[in-house]
Amino acid sequence: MIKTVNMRKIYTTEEVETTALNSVNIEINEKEFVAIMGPSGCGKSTLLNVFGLLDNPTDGEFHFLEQEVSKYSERQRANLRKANIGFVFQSFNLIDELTVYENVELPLLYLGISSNERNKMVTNVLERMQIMHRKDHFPQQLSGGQQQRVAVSRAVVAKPKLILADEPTGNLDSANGEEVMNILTQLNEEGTTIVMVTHSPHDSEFAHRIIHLFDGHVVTENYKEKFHV
Amino acid sequence: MFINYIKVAIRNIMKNKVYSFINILGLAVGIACCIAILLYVRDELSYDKFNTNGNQIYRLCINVKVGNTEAHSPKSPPLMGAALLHDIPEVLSFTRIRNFGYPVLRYKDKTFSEERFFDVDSTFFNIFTVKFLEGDPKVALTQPYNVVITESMAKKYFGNEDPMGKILNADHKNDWIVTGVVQDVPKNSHFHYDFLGSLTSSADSRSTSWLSNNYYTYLLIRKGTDTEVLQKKINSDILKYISPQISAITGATLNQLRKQGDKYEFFIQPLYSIHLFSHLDYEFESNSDISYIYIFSIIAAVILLIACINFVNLETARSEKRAKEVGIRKTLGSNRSQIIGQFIAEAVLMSMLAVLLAVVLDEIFLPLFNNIAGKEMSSGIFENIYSIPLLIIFSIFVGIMAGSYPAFYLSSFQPVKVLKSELRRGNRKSVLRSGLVIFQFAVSIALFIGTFIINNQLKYIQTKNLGFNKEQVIIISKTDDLGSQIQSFEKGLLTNPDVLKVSNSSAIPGNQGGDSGCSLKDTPGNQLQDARIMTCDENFAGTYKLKMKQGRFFSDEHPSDTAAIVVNEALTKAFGVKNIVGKYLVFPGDVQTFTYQIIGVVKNFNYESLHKEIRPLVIRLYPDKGFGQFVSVRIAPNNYKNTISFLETTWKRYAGNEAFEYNFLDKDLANLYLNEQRTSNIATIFSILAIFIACLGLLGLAAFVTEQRTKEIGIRKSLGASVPEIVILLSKEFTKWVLIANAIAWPLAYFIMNNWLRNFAYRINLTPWVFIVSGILALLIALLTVSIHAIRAATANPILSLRYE
Repeated sequence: MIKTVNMRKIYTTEEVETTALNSVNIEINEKEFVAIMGPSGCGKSTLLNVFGLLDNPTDGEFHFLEQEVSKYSERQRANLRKANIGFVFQSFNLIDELTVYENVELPLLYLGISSNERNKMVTNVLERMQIMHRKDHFPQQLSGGQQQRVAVSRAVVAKPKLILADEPTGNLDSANGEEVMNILTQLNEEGTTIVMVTHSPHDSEFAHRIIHLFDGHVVTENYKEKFHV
Repeated sequence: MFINYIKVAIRNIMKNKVYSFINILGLAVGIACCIAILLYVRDELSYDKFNTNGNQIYRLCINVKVGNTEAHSPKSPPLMGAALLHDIPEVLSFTRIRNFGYPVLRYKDKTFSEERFFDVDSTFFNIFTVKFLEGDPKVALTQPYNVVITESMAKKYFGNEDPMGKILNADHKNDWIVTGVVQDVPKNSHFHYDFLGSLTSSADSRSTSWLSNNYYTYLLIRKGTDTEVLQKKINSDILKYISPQISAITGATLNQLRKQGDKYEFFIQPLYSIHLFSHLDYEFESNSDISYIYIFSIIAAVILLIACINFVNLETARSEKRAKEVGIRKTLGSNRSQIIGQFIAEAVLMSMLAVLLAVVLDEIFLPLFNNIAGKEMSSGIFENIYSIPLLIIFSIFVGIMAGSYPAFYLSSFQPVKVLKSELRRGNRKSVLRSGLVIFQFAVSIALFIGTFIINNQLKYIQTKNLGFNKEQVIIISKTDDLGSQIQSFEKGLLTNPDVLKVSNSSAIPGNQGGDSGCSLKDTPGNQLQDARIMTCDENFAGTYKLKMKQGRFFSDEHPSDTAAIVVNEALTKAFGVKNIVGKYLVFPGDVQTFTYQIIGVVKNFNYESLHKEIRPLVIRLYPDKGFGQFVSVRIAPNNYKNTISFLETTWKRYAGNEAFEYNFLDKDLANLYLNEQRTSNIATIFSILAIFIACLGLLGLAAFVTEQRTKEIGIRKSLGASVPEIVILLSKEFTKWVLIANAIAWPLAYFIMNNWLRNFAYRINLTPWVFIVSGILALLIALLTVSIHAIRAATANPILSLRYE
């Protein structure tokens, strides 16, 4: 599903050039659950942004769904993204002016799905995430755990092939964190590929494989016993 | 998707009530100004358009310069129309209009003096579109002493009686029979009448003089006529009539005169252009000017621009609040154009709310605006089927204008950055934003300066030494109606000690009679000089406190003064003679030549509006028992209410039931500058509104900037900065902007206002003070606005602001 070949990402500001990713070679298969770990500033988030088609690499190759996409335009990336990728963020990133229902509905709107179909899909996912009773509330009226459940609902509502999670439990207490991890595991078992950035060794236990990054390099890749490619 | 946009937009408006209020109110006030000005412009452009044949109607005017005599007049000779109809096939019809003075009309016990009584040819109704309520336009004015009256005159004289066939007596002389009632003349006409008498009643209408230009003549011209060609045809055709008469008087043929640089030309004016373009002598009414249309249109556009700039500034300043949303939407697959569409839709929604509010504001303030602008406009929102679609198009236009830049700006955010909060502290300093604020203030300051200068010029006009004393002079009009009783009336007035002086005259300052050519006897070349003529009694100079330069004014002690004449300095100068007293002035006439001896030179006084230089004037004395239409009364300054009621009772004793019409001279003179006064009022209002809108924007911006710097303020305060220091810190940037705005506004205002002042022969000089005061005023207003937020931020507890971080 994802393959990078000698991929580099360099940020250039007026004075300094920072190499965020250096010769990264990673391959992630469908239905995998991968955790990316490493200290602050090691390039985890940059990698996730490239995977999420939010950013282009500076050089090297990046294949997504068998397409070489490293030179795609913003519009091409947007089209590929909205059909195939769901995001879960540490800070939830819900739109404050939209209700729970409307937040979850948003990706479907950009996919141009009909109103009836949307209704079915949103209701489905909200029921599944047990947040249906809150559908007309605004994000600010929910607890952190509830907000993250909404965010996960939004990430999965369009049935993406890939879910990218950036410290999904970072802003949650342990009970709520556990719940989110269980949801992600369940989604993975149903066939969704998951790539998760995390600081938490506990969370990384849920993954099949842990990739350690340091100063923009992949340093180790640990496969769990229960899953081998 | 669209519904989603609208939902978010409405929730955003509701969530940030203060910002939304500032944004929408600013836009609404701007749009309200714009609509008001558009209504004004529409009204100005609508003049005379109610005439269905309007674009075929032309007015015949004359441009004459013979020797020092000049005339630019919309009047032409009595036979002109008929001759053109006969000789030139393109002329389909014509009508003449003449005003024979202000008659006093009577019906039973009702008596009124009427100023809008005109005699016209029966063809009047073929040319102009007039709606008859009673009577037949074809025959209404074919007989002598027939009169067509307007609806309101019918009510005024006849109440509920049927006016048809009733008799109106004029000046105890002629009986006019009412043969028609027509609708009142629309306000947007260059010419208003209450009574139209049949011109055939007057023998003068059959005069064969080609040199007396006393008739307003309107032509109906065949469609598609080339008017340039027609004008040439007219000028060559009438030569055969005019030339012999000119030769008889001047001894030279017209062609010889033309070779000397003299002019005797007719030209035609399209009816539609009279109101805005015609500024000839003897206009029916004081016309407006196209330059006002331009000025006000520019002001409207500028105010709208200022309001849109507020919108742009506030939206971009607040952008960080929306950045997250943009990031999320993009992450979820929205492309840039969809985001742009969303924000423009939002701006259009705001602008629609603003238009709605603006319409309400206009409905409320239109009567006030009408009052100031001297108009009777209605917004007509619900009368005109186009106005609602037009308003919708207008709000879309404003929304796009105001929303485009914020939309492009916001949509450019990279999700990677905004979602990682890298943009949080935002771009407080933006070149574009400071540029826009500077522009707003430059325009506001320029408007301020303009308003000040207009007001100063008007004040100057009103207080300028006119060479006579205009204070405490009451003018009683239509005194010619008293006939020979006028002297007794004057004597009656003088029995009251508060009546200081009384004088009867044919003209008063600001309301001048006719012109005549004259020459100085026994001077080489017999140079003909055009001069204004007025006739008065011996008390005129005393009543107006005129000063003599040479010789003396008329006096009772010199019975021979009826053969004498007083001139002004300008006439002396025109003849280039030093000692003019004792010389003789000759007035050539059709029948007889009159000669008067000059006994005095009066110092120049402004008997006309200050738009004009003082022109040569000759003053004659009434012969025994002669009388004129004005009595000027100089009264004591105190107690004037009693004095006026005394004037009225005295008037009633001599005039019986006649209407007592009086005015204060200074007010009459102020009316000469009515156009300027109105312009000034309108300009004042709009410049206040412009700066109000600019300040609204500044208020929002200041709130934003202060909020942005809360942490900085907290740190500075915890390090020991005082409140004033913080306020200064926060105000520094705005001060800089306003100062730069001054640098732009001053030359701009100087250039424009200097041009405007050229309209006046007597004008103020531009002093730096006006500019400095306007600049300081704008700065103070801006600082006051900014400090509302700055002081609040500076006095807040630093712990709070640091914890907030």
